[in-house]
Order: sequence, then C-alpha cells, then structure tokens
Amino acid sequence: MRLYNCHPFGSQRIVPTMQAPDLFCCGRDSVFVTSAGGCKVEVFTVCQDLCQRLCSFSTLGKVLHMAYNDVGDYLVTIEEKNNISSLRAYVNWRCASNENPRVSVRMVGFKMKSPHIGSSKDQMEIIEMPLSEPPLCIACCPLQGDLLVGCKSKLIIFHLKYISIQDSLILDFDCALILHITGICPVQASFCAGYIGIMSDLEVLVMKVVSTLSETQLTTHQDMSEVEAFQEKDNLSTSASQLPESCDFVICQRPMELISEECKMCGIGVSPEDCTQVCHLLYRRFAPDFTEGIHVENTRLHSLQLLPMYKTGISFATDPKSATPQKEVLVMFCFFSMPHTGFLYSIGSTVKLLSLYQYPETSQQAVLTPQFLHVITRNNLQCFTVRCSAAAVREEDPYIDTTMKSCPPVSMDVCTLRMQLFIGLKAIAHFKNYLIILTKTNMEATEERRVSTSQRQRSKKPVKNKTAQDAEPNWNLYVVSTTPTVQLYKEMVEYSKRYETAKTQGSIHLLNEAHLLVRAALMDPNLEESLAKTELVAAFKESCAHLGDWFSRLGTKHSHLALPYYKMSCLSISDIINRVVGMEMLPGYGRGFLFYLKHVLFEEQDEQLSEAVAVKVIEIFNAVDKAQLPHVLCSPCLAHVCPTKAMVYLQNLQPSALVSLIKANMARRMNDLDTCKNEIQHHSEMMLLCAFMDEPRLLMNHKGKEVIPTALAFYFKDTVPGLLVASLVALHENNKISLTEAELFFQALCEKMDDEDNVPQMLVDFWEARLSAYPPESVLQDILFKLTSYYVWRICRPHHLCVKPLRSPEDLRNSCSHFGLISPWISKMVSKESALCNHCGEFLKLQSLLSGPSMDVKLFLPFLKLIPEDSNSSLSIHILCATRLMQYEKSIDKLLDCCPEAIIAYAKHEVKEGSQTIWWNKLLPELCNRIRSSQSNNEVFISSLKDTLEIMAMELDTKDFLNALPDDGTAAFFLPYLLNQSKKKLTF
Amino acid sequence: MSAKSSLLKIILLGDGGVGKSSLMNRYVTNKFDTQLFHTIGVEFLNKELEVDGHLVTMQIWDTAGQERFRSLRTPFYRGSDCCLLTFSVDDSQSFQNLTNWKKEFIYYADVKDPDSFPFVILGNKIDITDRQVSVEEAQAWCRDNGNNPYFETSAKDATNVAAAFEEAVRRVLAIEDRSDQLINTDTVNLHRKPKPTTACC
Repeated sequence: MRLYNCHPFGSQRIVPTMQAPDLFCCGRDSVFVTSAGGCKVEVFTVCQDLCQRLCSFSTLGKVLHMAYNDVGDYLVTIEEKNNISSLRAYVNWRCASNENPRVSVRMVGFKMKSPHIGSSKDQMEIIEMPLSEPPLCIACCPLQGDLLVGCKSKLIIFHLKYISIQDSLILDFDCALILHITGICPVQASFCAGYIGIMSDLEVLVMKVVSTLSETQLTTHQDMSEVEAFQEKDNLSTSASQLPESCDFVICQRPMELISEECKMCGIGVSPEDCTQVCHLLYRRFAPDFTEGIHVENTRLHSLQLLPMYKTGISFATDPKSATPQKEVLVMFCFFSMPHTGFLYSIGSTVKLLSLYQYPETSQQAVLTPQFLHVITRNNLQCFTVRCSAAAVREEDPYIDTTMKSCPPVSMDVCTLRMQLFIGLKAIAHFKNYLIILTKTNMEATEERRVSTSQRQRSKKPVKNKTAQDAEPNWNLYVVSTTPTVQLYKEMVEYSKRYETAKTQGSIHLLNEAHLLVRAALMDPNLEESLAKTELVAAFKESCAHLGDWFSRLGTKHSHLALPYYKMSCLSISDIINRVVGMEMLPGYGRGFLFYLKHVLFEEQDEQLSEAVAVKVIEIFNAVDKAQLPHVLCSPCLAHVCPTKAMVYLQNLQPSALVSLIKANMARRMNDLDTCKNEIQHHSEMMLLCAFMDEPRLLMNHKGKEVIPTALAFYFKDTVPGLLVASLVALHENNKISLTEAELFFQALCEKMDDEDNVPQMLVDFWEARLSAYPPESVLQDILFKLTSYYVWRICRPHHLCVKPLRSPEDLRNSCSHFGLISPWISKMVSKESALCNHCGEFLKLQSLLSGPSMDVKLFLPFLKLIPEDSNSSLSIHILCATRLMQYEKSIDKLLDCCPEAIIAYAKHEVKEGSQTIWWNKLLPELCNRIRSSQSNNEVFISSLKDTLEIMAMELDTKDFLNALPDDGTAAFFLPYLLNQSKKKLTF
Repeated sequence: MSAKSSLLKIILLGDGGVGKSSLMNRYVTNKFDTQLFHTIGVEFLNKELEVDGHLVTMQIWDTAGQERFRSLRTPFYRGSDCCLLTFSVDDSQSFQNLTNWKKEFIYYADVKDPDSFPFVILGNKIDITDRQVSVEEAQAWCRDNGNNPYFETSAKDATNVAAAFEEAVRRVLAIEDRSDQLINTDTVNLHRKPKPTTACC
C-alpha cells in the first residue's frame, strides 16, 4: 500500500473536560462526553476555532453506550443502575443549561389524553423506553432519525415522530418493528435508511427491511428472490448457535462470505413480527486473528458502519419538523474491521467488496467518511483513501466511462495519505470535518516515561508527555479538524508534480486520488451554493485537466482517457492545444493527445480556433497522421484556417475527390473561382457524391437541432444545384441525414430567395429526386404526402411566382414508376385550355402522381377539397380521383356536364372489364336524355351516342342490344348499328 | 466498579397539592413560589451533597399527585432508593391517603422487602394555623406503619425541609450500608470497563 505524507489533519483543540472521559459521541455541532462514573453527560460545542462547554446533565444511571442523532437532536443511552439496563432518550437537552433545572420524564408512546400543559419547550425531557430484554447496542438512522436497538434475541426499531400539542411539536418514538433473531448476539449495530448491520465478535450480517406496503421500495433491489419473509428454520441453525456452550474446546468456524440470497445459509434466523420483508445482503464470518496472541479482545471485529451516499442534485428539507427526508440514498457502503484488515463493501445495485485495508499495526477503531477511512492503532492515526465516490458516481451516471465522462476506477489501489503519531489512542469518532480522538496513556507506561523523559515539557504537539512535577491528567480528548478539501487537493496535486518528470505511477495515482476526493466533496448533499462550492467545482475541473494532461502524454491502453477528462475540464480546444504544445518536451505528440484532437475535431463543435491554432493543428496532423488532414480541414473548428497555407498541405496529399472538394473550398475562400471549378470538374458526379458521403460537413454543420449549410453549399446552390440536390439525396439514401434535416438544410439554404413560399423549390427538387431513387415505403409515403400537398398549394395559387424546377414532369415520368402516364381523356380535357403554368408543371406532376401506382388516393382526398372545379384542369383532378375510387357514374355525370368532348375517351380508357354495363345502363340513357332535352348544339352528344352504340353493338347480343335501345329514337339512326351487330354475330 | 452507584433516587409521593414540588424546590434551590403549576407526569432535580466526606448525587423525583396522572408516574417508581410520603397537615384526606400511596409505591416499585424499605413521612404546610391533622395522629400512623421517621415541614418557611431530605439519605445509607461502597465523583476511573485494554510498552 502506498504511503504519502500529505496533511489531511489540520488544527487540533482539546475538549475541556474536567474529568477523564469514559464514553463520547458527537454530531451536528456538539461533542457528548460521559464522566463521573458514567452518570453525567457534558456537552461541548465545536465550531470553527473553538470548543467550549455548552451544558451538562445527569443521567439516570451509568451510561454504557450512547449515540447522538442529528435529525431528532436527541441523545440515546443504554444505562445501567442496580444491575438493570435501561434505554433512554434525552431530548431538549440543550435546555439543561437554562435556569430550569427540573427534568421531566415520561414513557415512550405519548399519551394524548393527558394535557401536557406543564411541559414547556425550555425543559429537558427524558423518554424512558422499556424493553422486554436488556438492550445491548444502539444505532440511529442519520437519514430518518429512527433508532435501532439490539437485544440478545431481537432487534427493535423505534420510529422517530413528532406530535403536535398546543402549537408545539413534541418528539416521541413508535415501536415500528421487531425482528426476532437467532444464531447471533449483536454486540454492535448500524442502521441507515432501512439497512441494518449487526455484528458479533466474528460475524457480520447486513440486511434491509422492506415494508411490504410500498412496492416501489422493493424494486430497488435487483434480485427479487432474495426478498423473503425470513422464518426461523431449524435446518439453518446448524453452525455456531447450536454448539454446546460449556464446551472446553475453542471451535473456530470456517471463514465465509455470502452475498444476497446465499446469506440464507449463514445460520442466523431473522423473522419480523409483522409482514415486513427482510432482504439479506451480506454475511461474513471470520476466524479469530491470533497474530497478537490469544486475547479475545484482539481478535474480534470492530467498527461496523453503514455509510450512505446520496443522489446529487436533490434538494432536501432542512426543516426539522418534517420527518420525511428528501435525501435519496444512491448507494450504501458498509465497513467493518478485523484487527489487521478492514473491509469496505458497496451495497448498490449489487453487493461487492470495494477495498481491503491492510493495516501495518493492530487497529483499535475506525471511522469511514465519504472521503476517507480514519483508523487508529495504539499510537497512530492513519488516513486511508476510499473508493466511495468512484463507486457512487457509477451507480448514478450511466455515461461515466464513455468518451463523454470518466472517473478513476473503483479497483484502483487505496493508499495511506498520512500516519499521524498520537500516544495511547483509545477511541475515535467523526462528524462534519472534525475527528474526536481520545487518548489515554497507560499508568505503567506513564511511570516508565517519568523515569526516562521526566524533563520533557508538554508541547502543543499531539504527543503528550507527562512530567514528574505537574499533575496533568494522562488522558486527553482532542478535536482534530480535517483539512478543507480544496487545500488538501492542492497539496496532493503539488505532491504529484514532484513525480511528474519521472512519469511514475505515483504521480497519476495521486492525481486520481485528488480527483476522487473532490468528487466526493461535490456529492455531499449538504453542500450549498457558496464560495466553497465554486472553489470545489473549479478544483474538479482543474483536476480533470491535470488528468487529461497526464493521459494525453500516454501511449498506453489508457491514453484514450485524455478525451473524457479534457471534456470534463471545460477547457476550450485552443486552451488544451496550447497546454499540450507548451509542455511537450519531446518531438511528436502522445497518442492520448492525438486521440483527443481527432475526436474533438470530428464531433460538432461551436468553438472556432484562431488562425494560428488552426495552423498548429494542421501541422500536427501533417506531421503524424496525414491521412486525417482532409477530415481535420472539414471540421467547423478550423473554419478560420488560412486557405493559402491549407492549400500547401493539401498539394502534398494523394489526390481524391475529397481532397479536390476541399481544395475547391479553399480556392473559393480565396475567390479563385476558376481553380474551384476545375477541381470539381476533375471528378465524376459519382466520385463527388462519395466524397460528400465521406464528409457531409463539407455541405452542412449541425448545431443542436439546427442544420447550417456551409459556404460551399451556398456556392453549389448557385453554380451546380443539380449536384447539390443529388448529394443530399445520396446523404439521405445512406442514412447520413434525415428527411427533416434535409428540409432544414434547404430551408436555411434558400431562406433569402423564397420569401413568400415556405417550401423552397430546391427542397421540392430534392423530394422529386428522392422519389426517383426509390426510397423505402415509409419514406415514400412521407415524400408523396409532402409533394402532393406542395403541388396542391401551388395549384390553389394560380398567380404564384414561377420557378424552373430541376426536373420536368416528363423527366420524372421517365425516371421512376411513381409518376404514371396521363390518360388521353385528361389530355383532351386540358387541351382546350390555355395551360396554367406549364413552366412549373405542378398540374401535370400531380396528375401523373395520381395516375401512378404508388399514390394512395384516399390519403389525397383531404387536399382535393381545396381544389376548385372551375377549370377543366382542376376538374380533371377531381374526376381522376373519383375514377381511382371506381366512382365512374359520378365521373360520367361531371364530364357530360362540363366537358362532353372527353366522355368517349374517358369511357373507352376507364370503363373496363367487369363494369361495361355502365355503357348501356348509364352512358346510353344519359346521352339520350341530353339529346332529347337540348334543342340545338347537340352534335357532341350525338357523336358520343354513335360511339356508344358502336361499343354496345360489339359487346351485346342482339336481344340485349334491342332491349337497351330507347323506344323513341329514329329507326334510321339506330338501324346501322343493329345491322353491324347482326353481321358480327354471323361471322362468329 | 460496584454495581451500586452514588446516585440516590428519592421519590416524593402524596396527594395533589400537598406541596411536593414546593418541598423539592425549597430543598434544591431554596426558593418558594406560591404560583406553582400542577406537576404533570414526573420530573426530577439533582442535588449534590456531601455525606460523611462522600459526595452523593441525590436525584429527587417529583410526581403528579392527581389520580388522572397515575399512568404517567407509576412506571418511574422502580429503582427508587427512598420514598417520601407527603401529606398536608391542613388536609385530613391527604393524611388518610398515605396508606394508599404506600401501597401504590410498593406495588409499582416492585419492592422485594417492603418492611425494610426506607420511607420517610412528611407533614407539610405547618405554617398554616388551621390544622386538621395533629402531630400525635401523624406520629401514631408512622409508628404503626413500619416505624418510619416523621417530619413536620413547611416549604414556605423552609422549616425542617433540609433535615427531612438529609434523613432520607441517611436512612438509605444506613439500611443498605452502602456508604463504604460509594464512589467519589472526583476520582478518575481509568479502567473503562467496556473497552479492551491493551498491554503497555
């Protein structure tokens, strides 16, 4: 394990206790110390630079254990008097310093019926919590303020609550849950947000209680099968629990680690009294550690601790009245320790061992924080690093470990930041940025020291020497401030720089440690918007830049990490290039840096590099990776590159369509339009299209959802619009852009020209061209819809500004099958009219589309209503649609009314097999009626009647034909057809 | 360390309004307030005193005398070292109820040997001239009920208050003979019991 000599510990003060402390605990702003045979609690306030006595109060018995809870601001104790252990909670204890020395006592479970007038807010209260078994250990939930009590055969959870009585809130507890346990006698417990850890001398069990009422909580654990109402099973308790107690042998159980469902085999039975479910998470059993000789005290587990880390960015209520916490646990960490080894597990979506801590000497106690693990041995306070923030960030952010973000790995070795000498360390506790440390020198040891170093003066240093003369106590309770994160971070970075030139692993390791330290500080939910936070964020970015620098120089498999770290540093590309170019001592650049540069220039960027930096970039790529140069030059970041200089580098490249296009672009920028033209003419359209496919950025750039055409695209619009449309079609065909992006492109490209039209002609050209390239069905219908709606829109505005389309209706009909042949009857209908806007050809294109096989007429019907029937051209569209919907009779009526000249052409073309009865059942009677009713000008009808009779004579037999003929006609008129019909019969 | 500690729990029982809180206040703070509220539930005060050269913390538990507060006070009888049964000399009913108070105490405190348990009887409010209970009557009751000491007190005038409490302490120490086991609170106990002690170098 690496050992550095950083300074995580800052100033220290002495807690001014009058007597030797027995026990202590701390939280919020206070340190609680018992003394006087354990029957009195002294409270000291700790803040920035002072530690002073706040108040003291007597307990009802000798305190064996105590714990403070910040949420409820209560102190809970296990006390002993007359051999009876009691559990008590001290609330309103801050009033102990007030003038009112009277202390009120009540039983847990407040009785509403008793009017509690006398109990004032300025009076300390003791809540007596009777238990059926003597309490052995206690733990408070830092999140909800609930209390867990461990007894020999049960665990009891008291739920913290507030009762409102006469406008004041009174704190009380509910006995919320009892868990019966077998096979373990808890000596220590930890409790946080439903997670429970219990520990005996050599066993640890971590579980989670889940109320069956809230199903949502259940699902937070992946493995649902592990959730089980745990019943006491006889076959489980085959291990330690059933061994005869009066055995003379020391029987050591096999050490084991069981995760989640496997824990059922551990031999510990847990059964809740109600329908609460218990989900087992972790079980470990150890063999006694006899390295220090056979002392039970030296072989057992200690310092069981559950440490939550919360989801970031979630606000929480600071109002102590609301018992519902809004901090959401992201991941739980569990620490416990054997004398020589510490174990840190993460309990998130999975349960896994994060780190093992090997101590150089026997440990006495340890405290875990999100940033450090502090361990005391007899004479050393050691500060280890932890991987909590690395594990937490991976639980929270799925984008960690991508090209966007990174974080040092959880598996990275932990290290010791500091070993601080203290003599006679006994106990340690932690709150906020303070460590509370109790030292007691052994009486005999003191005696020895008296002889050897009797003249040493007591200094301010932690090493406390007792001189023979003074009667100073041989104990001390210290408040050690931990160094502010940013300060320690800076020290670690400085430290790492000492290794930098040697490129040792120590340097990168410290940089990573410093990064994790800052990350952990930023994940603290209590961190408010303040100067401190601004400093932390700045340190975080700086550390990312340092890490980026480090990885940019590497040529190893981790060199790619330069990219995410540089991104997280929020530095501009120019800044990073200048950093790297500035510090590079050897010719050539690290693989990490090139990887970063390549990626960052490939991704869309807002940043445009200055001319000087752009040239530097080209020089770098020209030197190490020529093949990338064309792509680099296509990056919008290099928009300001000097075209003359770029041309020089381009001349040296293998000629290709892409290189030519870039050259053309540079020439265009230099206003050398001839060169520009020549470069493009060097290559076939197909080659150019391939080049655009390779580098769409020649034509467009993306900015968020916006699509911005390049200057080259504008140039092409004016000079080679066909190529531009073909390029876009190719890009769409190859899924480089979507239909919407193409629309945005053309709209941006043509914005200034087509002010009145919302659809630029070039976009229509694109749609039409895209149809010719046979798009897939979904795209086809989409484009057909867009095109037809555009045609209709134009048709309905006869006075529109005419624009020459790229393709005529004829071109389209020849290029693909979606555009159908226009029927002769339509031609006949419109032939008489002075054609509307032949130039644009929308009528013809629409008629052609409606005549084609791809268009679904039903989808077109909503547009049809918009088209007037005031001209033959527009009427033809209506009739065309009716015909496609097989409404022949309706079409015939309309034609007879408006354009009888076309009726026979229509009938001959449209009335086909299966519907021929229309000739005699519809057309014939209609024609006869119109001839009868019209006095003059009925030549068209008569000629149509003749044609009709001809067809009927062909199709019908004599009898049917006779029957179909009208009764009132002139025989001379009908007879020839009858004769023809008879002749036809005879010939067969 | 001895299982017994220097903390003496002394409980005041008696009818509501006989002056239990006033007696306690007079003894501990040497004040008298005519406007004291009814005690609700249970409260206590600590008083440190030196007995035969030993420092003793006397924890005086004041209880609510009203019947309706019975459930709030009875759980705290357990563990008492001495019980001060109090009545008011101007209220014969409070005197007659002493028997009930004694019974209630013995029942809830779970006293193993009631005959040897130290009770002290206090007749309070002797500053009031209109007496309903005579000294003789009270002394007779004490004699007949375990031969316990009787003190006539006045919290208002501070008559006999300290003497009564000191007698209570003396009774506890005498009966349980625990004075030799007392722990001087000024002495530092270096051998903390729950933590392992390491060998010295």
